[in-house]
Amino acid sequence: MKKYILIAIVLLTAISCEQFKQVAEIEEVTPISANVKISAAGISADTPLPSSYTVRFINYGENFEISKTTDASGNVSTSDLIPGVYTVTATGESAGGGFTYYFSGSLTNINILTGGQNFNIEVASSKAGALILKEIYFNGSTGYYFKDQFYEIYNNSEEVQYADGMGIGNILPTQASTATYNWEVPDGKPENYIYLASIWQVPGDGNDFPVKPGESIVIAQIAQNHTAIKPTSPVDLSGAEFETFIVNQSVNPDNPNAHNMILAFDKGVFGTQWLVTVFGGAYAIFMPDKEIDPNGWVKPQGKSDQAYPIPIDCVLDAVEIVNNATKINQKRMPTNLDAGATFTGATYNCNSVSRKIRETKADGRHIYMDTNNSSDDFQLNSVAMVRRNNPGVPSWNTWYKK
Amino acid sequence: MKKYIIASVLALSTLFVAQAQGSKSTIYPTALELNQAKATWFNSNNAAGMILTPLSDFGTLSVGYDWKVGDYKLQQEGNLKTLDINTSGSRPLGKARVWGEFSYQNITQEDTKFNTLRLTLDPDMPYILADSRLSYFKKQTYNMTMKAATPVLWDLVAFGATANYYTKSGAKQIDPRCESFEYGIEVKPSAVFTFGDHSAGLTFMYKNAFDRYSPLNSNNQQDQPAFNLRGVGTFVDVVVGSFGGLGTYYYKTNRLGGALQYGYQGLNAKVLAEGYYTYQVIDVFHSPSKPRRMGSTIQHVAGGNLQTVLEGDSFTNKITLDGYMRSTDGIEYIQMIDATYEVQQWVTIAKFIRSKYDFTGLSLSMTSTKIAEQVMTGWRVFRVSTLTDWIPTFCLSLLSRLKTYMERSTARRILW
Repeated sequence: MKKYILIAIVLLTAISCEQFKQVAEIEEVTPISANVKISAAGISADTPLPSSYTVRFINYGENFEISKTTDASGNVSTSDLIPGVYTVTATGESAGGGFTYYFSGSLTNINILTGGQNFNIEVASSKAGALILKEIYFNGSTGYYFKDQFYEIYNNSEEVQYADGMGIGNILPTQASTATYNWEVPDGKPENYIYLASIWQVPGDGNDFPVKPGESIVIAQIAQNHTAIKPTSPVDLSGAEFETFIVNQSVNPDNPNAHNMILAFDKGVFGTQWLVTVFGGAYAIFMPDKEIDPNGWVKPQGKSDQAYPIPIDCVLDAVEIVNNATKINQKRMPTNLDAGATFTGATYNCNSVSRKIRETKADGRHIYMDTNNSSDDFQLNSVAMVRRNNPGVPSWNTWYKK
Repeated sequence: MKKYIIASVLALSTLFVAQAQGSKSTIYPTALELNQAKATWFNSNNAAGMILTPLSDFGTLSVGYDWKVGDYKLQQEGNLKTLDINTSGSRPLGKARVWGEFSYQNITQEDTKFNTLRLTLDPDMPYILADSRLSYFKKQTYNMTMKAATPVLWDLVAFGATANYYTKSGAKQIDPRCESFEYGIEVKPSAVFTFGDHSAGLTFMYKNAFDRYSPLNSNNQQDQPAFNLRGVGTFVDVVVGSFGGLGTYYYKTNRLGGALQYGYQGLNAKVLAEGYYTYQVIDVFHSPSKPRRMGSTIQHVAGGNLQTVLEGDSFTNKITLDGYMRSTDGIEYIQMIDATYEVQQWVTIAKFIRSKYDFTGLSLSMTSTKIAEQVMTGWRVFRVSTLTDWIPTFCLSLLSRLKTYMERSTARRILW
């Protein structure tokens, strides 16, 4: 009996000791410093550089953020960081030649655990986004209705843009998760691409679908008046310019007015409609630099998923949507395309996300925020709305009724 | 005016059976309390010493109902309705002595707030989930404790043990809701050495507990916001529901400790002094299939108490002095997903103490029991006095109690 008691005591103590060992010799946290240098080496000499950059140290796990401004040389230091995993973003803005230029660069999921570390951020520049994703309605309406999803794309620039050939798609993984994809691409540089599960392209020969400054176009999953089909739906999409109509199916009717998008790559399209997860996809619009090859897909290591690689340089705009606040640190979109994420935090409740208005011109035209950070640029809407804030409608859309 | 009303009904509370000198009779609460007050070793962590100051033989069964309502309460506590069934007893087993107790509680908590998971509120556990919706909890607890002591062997030493096992289950009743389970076992093997009127004892203490909480929503179309608390007002926003919602929480507890006792037992006086120390670690995990550490606490507890009992023909006086210090460190982990295809798990890359909690308590209580002269149909009057209340009630003897205590509590967050 004594033997068994002794064995029990020894075993219990051993179990405890393992747990005790893991928390032994832990010290109190102390603030640490970090130094960041911004480099604009890859930017054309013709592009005016900003006088300073805003550098944000974001620790999503702690809900902690510090923002600093660089000096004229692009250097900044901070000494107030909590040790942790950070996304560091650098943004700047300049004006010249009648254009607004945005500069952005980032480092994602870097460990800042000891003080005095130096980081370099290479920024890239872009003119103020011309075609941008203005409103995305993805999470459906009450009664598990999801056929009313739509994407509104807006001309945020001062020049006429042509939507012909523009692609739209969502990247893998379809939902924000801890699962990671290690893509294998022919040139061995997976960081230079995004990987789309499906690609829809606007038809046209290059100048068929002009979008003037302040005008928007709507891409509907199904271009119908959904308020008549499903009373809980908040949107009438019968006036949409385009729809992602699946040919050779009869479940969903074709709107003869709306132009049918071209399904250029279809690995992520199943059934009778293009349904992107109601929990929030990561979307991109882009102008491909070459024709989409349906067999040009790649696969991640150890997985059977197939996706089409699109060079980051071709992307016009990208928006990361995650399920909720807890998922921001599991974002999929590269941070140089979208340094943050937006979310609705619910499904099937008619919520949408749309860009905030940055300024309104004298003629009433809105300029929307486009800092490549959806956390800042987007707002949550309790009810989705087609053509929110009264954008212009392209003149070639003769079937839209206000 | 007090803003907290406590109503308590104790039914069948005097179904006691005393077995003294072979006879059976009914006894009353104060006699039972006096019985325990005199058994100084029973009130220590050393069960072996129970053979030196034994309890009288008894058995009890009680059924109670408590109702507490008012504003003077923790928001997490709410208004309480408790059905309580308790049975306990003490008797010899051969030459050894045993004591045991079993209790069952069925608890309804109404209008609780800022506690989504926990069945037992612990002020030193910063890593909890909270939400701001008014809700109510349904809980059941089962608690079983036993103490046993061998006779004194070789006129020198006796061995004993205390064992406690509890299980609690419950569920929060409004989204975000939760299914909660808590289990724990504690064992305290002990020995006592006697040297005439003097005695010395030692105790080893071990506790293992495991808590499991599964947050969920009844309405799966509406995610519910919640807060992962990290101590002293800091939190991270989280969501219950959907694919991105929170998974199961696990709390794993291990505690080791020891105690030393010294006792003196004279003709009319008993003294027992005890000092003890425990070291406890609680690890909080999240999502068992891909475990992620939410935090840990390390807790040191050191304390001591001194019991003095003076007995005469018609009185028993007891003075108890308790001192208690508790120090807790809140540890947080910096973790990253190891994206290696075959691995895909959270890996700890650093850990730090992020918050500290200290508590010191000192209490002095004096109990005086007298056999009163007046006997009213077999009942005598007794009063309980505290610093603020006089509660008249009836019992076998005249008992006065005075208790005073001082407490100091601090909590601080380090950096963010």
